[in-house]
Amino acid sequence: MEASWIIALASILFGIGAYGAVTHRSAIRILISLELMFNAEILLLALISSFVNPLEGLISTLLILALTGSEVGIVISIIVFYYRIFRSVEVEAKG
Amino acid sequence: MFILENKILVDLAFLSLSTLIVLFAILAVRLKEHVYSAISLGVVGICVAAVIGLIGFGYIAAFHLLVYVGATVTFVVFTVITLRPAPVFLKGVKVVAAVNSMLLALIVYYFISNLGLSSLTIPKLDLSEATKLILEKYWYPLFLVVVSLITLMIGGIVIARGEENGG
Repeated sequence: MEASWIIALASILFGIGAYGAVTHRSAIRILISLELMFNAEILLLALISSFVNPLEGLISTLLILALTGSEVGIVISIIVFYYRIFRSVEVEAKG
Repeated sequence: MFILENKILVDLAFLSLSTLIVLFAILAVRLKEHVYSAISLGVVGICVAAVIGLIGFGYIAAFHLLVYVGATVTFVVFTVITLRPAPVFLKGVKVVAAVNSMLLALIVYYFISNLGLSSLTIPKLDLSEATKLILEKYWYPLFLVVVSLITLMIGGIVIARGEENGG
């Protein structure tokens, strides 16, 4: 397995996530698209750290994963509050 | 592990997982129902964890499965089921967005390829050394992660209390 294959896969995943993030107006769909981009980033981080410093790469990846778990939870909490106020998860200017 | 020692099997597994990742990523972006979209994200997460395992980071793969797919994606799925939001698409930007996304993917590929990464070697990892390193060198990031998890817990409690109060 060549490193370039994984880079290509991560790039495609990143591109698909970016496409989803700019073409949707629903906050949940944008979050899902950003999570796709995050998956690509984790894949690249694991790949690069296997060449540079595997142990420190392992630690930073684990910390980033834990942080992402809480980040998604907090974003979902904000979306739930938004939905309660506006009865919609559509992202646009609310007067 | 047997599968990691057999080069053809690794290549085959990688190709199948890549196909699944791209397919379900497209489904996650294109499907109209939010629930199916979130489930597709879960499948992408599982396949990405498998690819990370193939690179040689078994611990990260297990953590990715447990924390990311097990908790995060499940949380998104349950929220989507509870809220039932209507799908909304932006009109007129799809072609521009597709071209820009392809350009972005090419830029990412170009920059990371120029780092000079060649064929993969599976790294040897010592978990006890990693634990020591976390406690001695990375205690501050660990502290920040703990604080953010506590914040999440408080957020969950506030939402639950809001539901109780009818607000």
